[in-house]
Amino acid sequence: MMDPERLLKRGGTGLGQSLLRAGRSDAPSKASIRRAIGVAAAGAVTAGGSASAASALTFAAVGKWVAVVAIASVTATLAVSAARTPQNDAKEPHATAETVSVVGPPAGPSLVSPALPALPDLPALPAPSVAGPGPRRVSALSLAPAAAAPHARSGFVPSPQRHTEAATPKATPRVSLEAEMAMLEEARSAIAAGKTAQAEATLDAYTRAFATRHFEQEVTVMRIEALVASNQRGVASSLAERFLTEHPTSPMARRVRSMTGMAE
Amino acid sequence: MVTAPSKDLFRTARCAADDARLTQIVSDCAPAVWRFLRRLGVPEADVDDAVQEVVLVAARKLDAIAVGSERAFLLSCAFHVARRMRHVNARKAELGDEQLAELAHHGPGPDSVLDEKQARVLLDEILLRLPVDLRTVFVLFEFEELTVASIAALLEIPAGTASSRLPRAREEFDQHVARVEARIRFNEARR
Repeated sequence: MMDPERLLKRGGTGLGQSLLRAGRSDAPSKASIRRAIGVAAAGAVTAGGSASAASALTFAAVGKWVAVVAIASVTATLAVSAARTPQNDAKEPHATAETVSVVGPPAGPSLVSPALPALPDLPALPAPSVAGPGPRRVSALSLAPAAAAPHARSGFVPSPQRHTEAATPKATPRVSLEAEMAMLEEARSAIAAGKTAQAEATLDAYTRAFATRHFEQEVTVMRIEALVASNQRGVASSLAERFLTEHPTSPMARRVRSMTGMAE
Repeated sequence: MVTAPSKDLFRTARCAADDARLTQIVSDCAPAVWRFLRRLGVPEADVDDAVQEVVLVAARKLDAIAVGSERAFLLSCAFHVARRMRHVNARKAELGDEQLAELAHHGPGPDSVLDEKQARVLLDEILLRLPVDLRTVFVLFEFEELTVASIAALLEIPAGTASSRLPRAREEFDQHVARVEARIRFNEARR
Protein backbone atom coordinates (compact mmCIF):
# COMPACT_ATOMS: atom_id res chain seq x y z
CA MET A 1 0.00 0.00 0.00
CA MET A 2 1.38 3.40 -0.97
CA ASP A 3 2.01 6.03 1.61
CA PRO A 4 -0.28 9.07 1.56
CA GLU A 5 1.02 12.39 0.28
CA ARG A 6 2.78 14.43 2.93
CA LEU A 7 0.79 17.38 4.21
CA LEU A 8 3.55 19.84 3.39
CA LYS A 9 3.61 18.75 -0.23
CA ARG A 10 -0.02 19.75 -0.59
CA GLY A 11 1.00 23.37 -0.30
CA GLY A 12 -1.34 26.13 0.68
CA THR A 13 -1.25 29.20 2.86
CA GLY A 14 -3.38 28.22 5.82
CA LEU A 15 -2.34 28.18 9.44
CA GLY A 16 -1.71 24.43 9.33
CA GLN A 17 0.74 24.78 6.45
CA SER A 18 2.55 27.61 8.25
CA LEU A 19 2.96 25.47 11.32
CA LEU A 20 4.20 22.48 9.36
CA ARG A 21 6.73 24.60 7.45
CA ALA A 22 8.02 26.07 10.69
CA GLY A 23 8.39 22.61 12.20
CA ARG A 24 10.17 21.23 9.17
CA SER A 25 12.68 24.07 9.04
CA ASP A 26 13.52 23.92 12.75
CA ALA A 27 17.16 23.15 13.46
CA PRO A 28 19.54 23.11 16.40
CA SER A 29 22.18 25.74 16.92
CA LYS A 30 25.73 25.11 15.77
CA ALA A 31 26.72 24.99 19.43
CA SER A 32 24.31 22.11 20.01
CA ILE A 33 25.78 20.19 17.11
CA ARG A 34 29.30 20.83 18.35
CA ARG A 35 28.36 19.53 21.78
CA ALA A 36 26.86 16.42 20.25
CA ILE A 37 30.00 15.78 18.22
CA GLY A 38 32.08 16.30 21.34
CA VAL A 39 30.04 13.71 23.15
CA ALA A 40 30.51 11.39 20.19
CA ALA A 41 34.24 11.64 20.61
CA ALA A 42 33.99 10.87 24.29
CA GLY A 43 31.58 8.05 23.62
CA ALA A 44 33.87 6.49 21.04
CA VAL A 45 36.66 6.38 23.61
CA THR A 46 34.56 4.73 26.26
CA ALA A 47 32.32 2.56 24.14
CA GLY A 48 34.11 -0.59 25.18
CA GLY A 49 33.88 -0.01 28.91
CA SER A 50 30.61 -1.69 29.76
CA ALA A 51 29.84 -2.80 33.27
CA SER A 52 29.20 -6.36 32.19
CA ALA A 53 32.59 -6.52 30.50
CA ALA A 54 34.22 -5.15 33.62
CA SER A 55 32.60 -7.79 35.76
CA ALA A 56 34.26 -10.49 33.67
CA LEU A 57 37.70 -9.42 34.80
CA THR A 58 39.63 -12.21 36.49
CA PHE A 59 43.10 -12.52 37.96
CA ALA A 60 44.01 -14.93 35.19
CA ALA A 61 42.92 -12.41 32.59
CA VAL A 62 44.86 -9.68 34.34
CA GLY A 63 47.95 -11.86 34.38
CA LYS A 64 47.67 -12.49 30.67
CA TRP A 65 47.09 -8.83 30.08
CA VAL A 66 50.20 -7.79 31.97
CA ALA A 67 52.26 -10.13 29.81
CA VAL A 68 50.69 -8.75 26.66
CA VAL A 69 51.39 -5.18 27.77
CA ALA A 70 55.03 -6.00 28.41
CA ILE A 71 55.43 -7.54 24.98
CA ALA A 72 53.38 -4.88 23.23
CA SER A 73 55.26 -2.02 24.85
CA VAL A 74 58.32 -3.19 22.97
CA THR A 75 56.30 -3.81 19.84
CA ALA A 76 54.76 -0.36 20.02
CA THR A 77 58.12 1.32 20.26
CA LEU A 78 59.47 -0.58 17.27
CA ALA A 79 56.33 -0.48 15.16
CA VAL A 80 55.75 3.25 15.21
CA SER A 81 59.32 4.36 14.82
CA ALA A 82 58.95 4.56 11.05
CA ALA A 83 55.72 6.53 11.38
CA ARG A 84 57.30 9.41 13.21
CA THR A 85 57.28 12.65 11.27
CA PRO A 86 58.31 16.20 12.11
CA GLN A 87 54.61 17.09 12.35
CA ASN A 88 53.97 14.39 14.88
CA ASP A 89 56.77 15.65 17.02
CA ALA A 90 54.87 18.83 17.69
CA LYS A 91 53.48 18.81 21.20
CA GLU A 92 50.13 20.32 20.28
CA PRO A 93 47.50 18.48 22.24
CA HIS A 94 44.80 19.56 19.82
CA ALA A 95 46.54 18.02 16.82
CA THR A 96 45.29 14.68 15.69
CA ALA A 97 48.20 13.62 13.52
CA GLU A 98 49.87 11.51 16.19
CA THR A 99 49.49 7.77 16.09
CA VAL A 100 50.59 4.88 18.26
CA SER A 101 50.04 1.21 18.09
CA VAL A 102 47.75 0.31 20.89
CA VAL A 103 48.00 -2.84 22.86
CA GLY A 104 45.35 -5.37 22.07
CA PRO A 105 43.89 -7.72 24.60
CA PRO A 106 44.19 -11.44 24.47
CA ALA A 107 41.09 -13.31 23.43
CA GLY A 108 38.58 -13.76 26.19
CA PRO A 109 36.72 -11.46 28.52
CA SER A 110 37.21 -7.77 28.25
CA LEU A 111 40.01 -6.48 30.39
CA VAL A 112 38.47 -3.23 31.40
CA SER A 113 39.43 -2.32 34.89
CA PRO A 114 36.21 -2.12 36.89
CA ALA A 115 37.40 1.08 38.44
CA LEU A 116 38.25 2.83 35.20
CA PRO A 117 35.91 5.75 34.73
CA ALA A 118 34.36 6.52 31.40
CA LEU A 119 36.36 9.47 30.13
CA PRO A 120 34.49 12.44 28.79
CA ASP A 121 35.84 14.86 26.24
CA LEU A 122 38.88 16.01 28.12
CA PRO A 123 40.88 19.20 27.94
CA ALA A 124 44.38 19.22 26.52
CA LEU A 125 47.03 17.65 28.68
CA PRO A 126 50.78 17.92 28.38
CA ALA A 127 52.13 15.04 26.34
CA PRO A 128 54.04 12.52 28.42
CA SER A 129 57.74 12.39 27.81
CA VAL A 130 58.63 9.68 25.37
CA ALA A 131 62.02 8.08 25.40
CA GLY A 132 62.14 6.99 21.83
CA PRO A 133 59.76 7.48 18.95
CA GLY A 134 56.37 8.06 20.40
CA PRO A 135 53.73 9.51 18.17
CA ARG A 136 50.47 9.01 19.98
CA ARG A 137 47.05 8.51 18.52
CA VAL A 138 44.14 10.31 19.95
CA SER A 139 40.58 10.17 18.83
CA ALA A 140 39.74 12.73 16.18
CA LEU A 141 38.15 15.07 18.69
CA SER A 142 39.47 13.75 21.96
CA LEU A 143 42.19 15.82 23.47
CA ALA A 144 43.70 13.74 26.25
CA PRO A 145 46.49 11.26 25.57
CA ALA A 146 45.31 9.31 28.59
CA ALA A 147 41.96 8.80 26.93
CA ALA A 148 43.65 6.13 24.81
CA ALA A 149 42.43 4.79 21.53
CA PRO A 150 38.87 3.58 21.29
CA HIS A 151 38.40 -0.14 21.04
CA ALA A 152 34.69 -0.37 20.65
CA ARG A 153 34.82 -3.56 18.66
CA SER A 154 37.06 -5.47 21.01
CA GLY A 155 35.36 -4.06 24.09
CA PHE A 156 38.75 -3.18 25.43
CA VAL A 157 39.80 0.11 26.90
CA PRO A 158 43.37 0.05 28.11
CA SER A 159 44.09 1.50 31.49
CA PRO A 160 45.55 4.97 31.05
CA GLN A 161 48.37 3.94 33.32
CA ARG A 162 49.26 0.99 31.09
CA HIS A 163 48.83 3.08 27.98
CA THR A 164 51.21 5.60 29.46
CA GLU A 165 53.70 2.86 30.15
CA ALA A 166 53.49 1.64 26.59
CA ALA A 167 54.24 5.13 25.31
CA THR A 168 56.60 6.27 28.10
CA PRO A 169 58.69 3.38 29.34
CA LYS A 170 60.70 5.69 31.58
CA ALA A 171 57.68 7.07 33.58
CA THR A 172 57.83 6.22 37.26
CA PRO A 173 54.50 6.28 39.15
CA ARG A 174 54.36 7.99 42.52
CA VAL A 175 53.23 5.76 45.40
CA SER A 176 52.74 8.21 48.22
CA LEU A 177 49.28 8.25 49.74
CA GLU A 178 49.86 11.87 50.71
CA ALA A 179 50.63 12.70 47.09
CA GLU A 180 47.35 11.10 46.00
CA MET A 181 45.43 13.10 48.56
CA ALA A 182 47.16 16.32 47.54
CA MET A 183 46.13 15.88 43.92
CA LEU A 184 42.57 15.06 44.86
CA GLU A 185 42.41 18.11 47.08
CA GLU A 186 43.63 20.17 44.17
CA ALA A 187 40.87 18.75 41.98
CA ARG A 188 38.28 19.29 44.70
CA SER A 189 39.31 22.93 45.09
CA ALA A 190 39.10 23.44 41.34
CA ILE A 191 35.56 22.06 41.26
CA ALA A 192 34.56 24.28 44.17
CA ALA A 193 35.98 27.27 42.31
CA GLY A 194 34.04 26.36 39.19
CA LYS A 195 37.21 25.49 37.29
CA THR A 196 35.90 22.23 35.91
CA ALA A 197 38.38 21.93 33.07
CA GLN A 198 41.24 22.32 35.53
CA ALA A 199 39.63 19.76 37.83
CA GLU A 200 39.31 17.23 35.03
CA ALA A 201 42.91 17.78 34.00
CA THR A 202 44.03 17.17 37.58
CA LEU A 203 41.96 13.99 37.80
CA ASP A 204 43.47 12.75 34.55
CA ALA A 205 46.94 13.49 35.84
CA TYR A 206 46.11 11.58 39.05
CA THR A 207 44.95 8.57 37.03
CA ARG A 208 48.20 8.58 35.03
CA ALA A 209 50.49 9.25 37.94
CA PHE A 210 49.62 6.41 40.31
CA ALA A 211 49.96 2.71 39.54
CA THR A 212 47.94 1.90 42.62
CA ARG A 213 45.11 4.30 43.25
CA HIS A 214 43.41 4.31 46.63
CA PHE A 215 40.68 6.78 45.73
CA GLU A 216 39.27 5.44 42.49
CA GLN A 217 35.65 5.86 43.53
CA GLU A 218 36.25 9.36 44.84
CA VAL A 219 37.87 10.28 41.53
CA THR A 220 34.89 9.00 39.58
CA VAL A 221 32.48 10.90 41.78
CA MET A 222 34.50 14.07 41.32
CA ARG A 223 34.47 13.55 37.57
CA ILE A 224 30.69 13.30 37.70
CA GLU A 225 30.54 16.45 39.78
CA ALA A 226 32.77 18.31 37.32
CA LEU A 227 30.66 17.15 34.39
CA VAL A 228 27.46 18.27 36.07
CA ALA A 229 29.02 21.61 36.90
CA SER A 230 30.08 22.10 33.30
CA ASN A 231 26.56 21.18 32.12
CA GLN A 232 27.60 17.95 30.46
CA ARG A 233 24.69 16.14 32.05
CA GLY A 234 24.40 13.44 29.42
CA VAL A 235 27.94 12.23 29.95
CA ALA A 236 27.59 12.71 33.71
CA SER A 237 24.52 10.49 33.75
CA SER A 238 26.23 7.77 31.77
CA LEU A 239 29.22 7.83 34.08
CA ALA A 240 26.91 7.84 37.09
CA GLU A 241 24.96 4.85 35.79
CA ARG A 242 28.15 2.92 35.37
CA PHE A 243 29.37 3.90 38.83
CA LEU A 244 26.10 2.84 40.46
CA THR A 245 26.13 -0.46 38.58
CA GLU A 246 29.66 -1.21 39.69
CA HIS A 247 29.36 0.17 43.23
CA PRO A 248 25.70 -0.11 44.24
CA THR A 249 26.45 -0.07 47.97
CA SER A 250 29.06 2.64 47.88
CA PRO A 251 28.61 5.35 50.54
CA MET A 252 28.82 7.82 47.66
CA ALA A 253 25.97 6.26 45.70
CA ARG A 254 23.37 8.57 47.19
CA ARG A 255 25.48 11.61 46.36
CA VAL A 256 25.89 10.42 42.78
CA ARG A 257 22.14 9.97 42.45
CA SER A 258 21.52 13.38 43.94
CA MET A 259 23.98 15.11 41.62
CA THR A 260 22.53 13.52 38.51
CA GLY A 261 18.89 13.57 39.48
CA MET A 262 18.51 9.79 39.51
CA ALA A 263 15.88 8.16 41.61
CA GLU A 264 16.88 6.32 44.77
CA MET B 1 59.58 -10.41 1.47
CA VAL B 2 56.42 -8.45 2.00
CA THR B 3 55.06 -8.78 5.51
CA ALA B 4 51.46 -8.23 6.42
CA PRO B 5 50.65 -5.15 8.50
CA SER B 6 50.65 -5.86 12.23
CA LYS B 7 47.41 -6.48 14.06
CA ASP B 8 48.08 -3.32 16.06
CA LEU B 9 48.11 -1.22 12.92
CA PHE B 10 44.88 -2.82 11.77
CA ARG B 11 43.33 -2.12 15.15
CA THR B 12 44.48 1.48 15.12
CA ALA B 13 43.21 2.02 11.60
CA ARG B 14 39.88 0.39 12.46
CA CYS B 15 39.46 2.55 15.57
CA ALA B 16 40.19 5.66 13.57
CA ALA B 17 37.57 4.56 11.08
CA ASP B 18 35.06 4.06 13.91
CA ASP B 19 35.78 7.54 15.21
CA ALA B 20 35.34 9.03 11.79
CA ARG B 21 32.14 7.11 11.15
CA LEU B 22 30.59 8.08 14.47
CA THR B 23 31.49 11.72 14.01
CA GLN B 24 30.02 11.70 10.51
CA ILE B 25 26.84 10.00 11.72
CA VAL B 26 26.38 12.55 14.48
CA SER B 27 27.13 15.46 12.18
CA ASP B 28 24.64 14.21 9.61
CA CYS B 29 21.86 13.03 11.90
CA ALA B 30 21.99 15.26 14.98
CA PRO B 31 19.74 17.95 13.45
CA ALA B 32 17.04 15.37 12.68
CA VAL B 33 17.37 13.86 16.15
CA TRP B 34 17.15 17.28 17.75
CA ARG B 35 14.12 18.26 15.69
CA PHE B 36 12.38 14.95 16.36
CA LEU B 37 12.91 15.27 20.11
CA ARG B 38 11.58 18.84 20.09
CA ARG B 39 8.45 17.88 18.19
CA LEU B 40 7.89 14.92 20.49
CA GLY B 41 7.69 17.34 23.36
CA VAL B 42 11.16 17.49 24.90
CA PRO B 43 11.55 21.07 26.17
CA GLU B 44 14.23 23.24 24.62
CA ALA B 45 16.12 23.32 27.91
CA ASP B 46 16.46 19.54 27.93
CA VAL B 47 16.85 18.63 24.30
CA ASP B 48 20.64 18.97 24.19
CA ASP B 49 20.96 16.47 27.01
CA ALA B 50 18.62 14.11 25.21
CA VAL B 51 20.63 14.40 21.99
CA GLN B 52 23.79 13.64 23.93
CA GLU B 53 22.20 10.52 25.38
CA VAL B 54 21.32 9.38 21.89
CA VAL B 55 24.88 10.00 20.73
CA LEU B 56 26.27 7.95 23.61
CA VAL B 57 24.01 5.04 22.72
CA ALA B 58 25.15 5.28 19.12
CA ALA B 59 28.78 5.26 20.25
CA ARG B 60 28.22 2.13 22.29
CA LYS B 61 26.35 0.37 19.51
CA LEU B 62 28.26 1.62 16.51
CA ASP B 63 28.87 -1.88 15.23
CA ALA B 64 25.13 -2.56 15.20
CA ILE B 65 24.35 0.43 13.00
CA ALA B 66 24.03 -0.81 9.43
CA VAL B 67 25.38 1.44 6.73
CA GLY B 68 22.50 3.44 5.31
CA SER B 69 20.37 3.00 8.45
CA GLU B 70 22.13 5.52 10.62
CA ARG B 71 19.33 8.06 10.72
CA ALA B 72 16.67 5.47 11.46
CA PHE B 73 18.82 3.99 14.22
CA LEU B 74 19.39 7.34 15.87
CA LEU B 75 15.73 8.31 15.60
CA SER B 76 14.81 5.01 17.21
CA CYS B 77 17.24 5.75 20.05
CA ALA B 78 15.79 9.22 20.35
CA PHE B 79 12.31 7.77 20.65
CA HIS B 80 13.36 5.55 23.53
CA VAL B 81 15.29 8.35 25.22
CA ALA B 82 12.28 10.63 24.95
CA ARG B 83 9.99 7.97 26.36
CA ARG B 84 12.21 7.64 29.41
CA MET B 85 12.04 11.36 29.95
CA ARG B 86 9.02 12.23 32.00
CA HIS B 87 8.44 15.39 29.97
CA VAL B 88 7.24 13.61 26.89
CA ASN B 89 4.79 11.31 28.56
CA ALA B 90 3.55 13.65 31.25
CA ARG B 91 3.84 16.99 29.58
CA LYS B 92 0.58 18.64 28.69
CA ALA B 93 -0.20 21.59 26.48
CA GLU B 94 0.41 24.73 28.47
CA LEU B 95 -1.65 27.24 26.55
CA GLY B 96 -5.40 27.37 26.33
CA ASP B 97 -7.35 27.89 23.11
CA GLU B 98 -7.61 31.61 23.72
CA GLN B 99 -3.87 31.93 24.16
CA LEU B 100 -3.21 29.87 21.07
CA ALA B 101 -5.47 32.10 19.08
CA GLU B 102 -3.70 35.20 20.40
CA LEU B 103 -0.38 33.69 19.52
CA ALA B 104 -1.56 32.84 16.02
CA HIS B 105 -3.24 36.17 15.52
CA HIS B 106 -0.27 38.43 16.26
CA GLY B 107 2.39 38.45 13.59
CA PRO B 108 5.00 40.91 12.44
CA GLY B 109 3.26 41.92 9.25
CA PRO B 110 -0.10 43.46 8.48
CA ASP B 111 -1.34 40.14 7.15
CA SER B 112 -0.56 38.54 10.51
CA VAL B 113 1.87 36.04 9.04
CA LEU B 114 3.41 34.15 11.90
CA ASP B 115 7.11 34.35 12.40
CA GLU B 116 8.79 31.00 12.63
CA LYS B 117 9.41 31.11 16.36
CA GLN B 118 5.77 31.86 17.12
CA ALA B 119 4.72 29.18 14.67
CA ARG B 120 6.88 26.58 16.41
CA VAL B 121 5.49 27.47 19.82
CA LEU B 122 1.99 27.10 18.43
CA LEU B 123 2.91 23.92 16.59
CA ASP B 124 4.39 22.34 19.73
CA GLU B 125 1.36 23.27 21.77
CA ILE B 126 -0.91 21.60 19.23
CA LEU B 127 1.32 18.54 19.00
CA LEU B 128 1.24 18.19 22.79
CA ARG B 129 -2.53 17.85 22.50
CA LEU B 130 -2.09 14.74 20.40
CA PRO B 131 -1.69 11.44 22.25
CA VAL B 132 1.99 10.55 22.22
CA ASP B 133 1.55 7.48 19.99
CA LEU B 134 -0.24 9.55 17.33
CA ARG B 135 2.16 12.45 17.78
CA THR B 136 5.17 10.21 17.19
CA VAL B 137 3.88 8.77 13.92
CA PHE B 138 2.78 12.21 12.75
CA VAL B 139 6.14 13.80 13.49
CA LEU B 140 8.13 11.01 11.87
CA PHE B 141 6.00 11.05 8.73
CA GLU B 142 5.38 14.75 8.21
CA PHE B 143 8.64 16.25 9.51
CA GLU B 144 11.25 13.54 9.17
CA GLU B 145 9.61 12.13 6.03
CA LEU B 146 10.02 8.50 6.94
CA THR B 147 7.82 6.00 5.17
CA VAL B 148 5.05 4.30 7.10
CA ALA B 149 6.95 1.03 6.86
CA SER B 150 10.09 2.63 8.29
CA ILE B 151 8.08 4.20 11.08
CA ALA B 152 6.56 0.86 11.95
CA ALA B 153 10.00 -0.74 12.08
CA LEU B 154 11.44 2.10 14.12
CA LEU B 155 8.63 2.04 16.66
CA GLU B 156 8.46 -1.74 16.63
CA ILE B 157 4.77 -1.75 15.85
CA PRO B 158 2.87 -3.52 13.11
CA ALA B 159 2.73 -1.68 9.79
CA GLY B 160 -1.05 -1.68 10.01
CA THR B 161 -0.92 0.09 13.36
CA ALA B 162 1.38 2.78 11.99
CA SER B 163 -0.88 3.14 8.96
CA SER B 164 -3.96 3.64 11.10
CA ARG B 165 -2.29 6.10 13.49
CA LEU B 166 -1.29 8.54 10.75
CA PRO B 167 -4.76 9.53 9.54
CA ARG B 168 -5.99 9.71 13.14
CA ALA B 169 -3.09 11.99 13.99
CA ARG B 170 -3.78 14.15 10.95
CA GLU B 171 -7.42 14.40 11.83
CA GLU B 172 -6.67 15.52 15.37
CA PHE B 173 -4.00 17.96 14.16
CA ASP B 174 -6.45 19.47 11.67
CA GLN B 175 -9.15 19.75 14.33
CA HIS B 176 -6.86 21.64 16.71
CA VAL B 177 -5.71 23.95 13.91
CA ALA B 178 -9.32 24.53 12.90
CA ARG B 179 -10.24 25.45 16.49
CA VAL B 180 -7.44 27.99 16.63
CA GLU B 181 -8.49 29.45 13.28
CA ALA B 182 -12.10 29.60 14.44
CA ARG B 183 -11.15 31.43 17.60
CA ILE B 184 -9.06 33.90 15.59
CA ARG B 185 -12.07 34.68 13.42
CA PHE B 186 -14.26 34.96 16.50
CA ASN B 187 -11.83 37.36 18.17
CA GLU B 188 -11.53 39.43 15.00
CA ALA B 189 -15.28 39.69 14.78
CA ARG B 190 -15.42 41.02 18.35
CA ARG B 191 -12.82 43.69 17.74
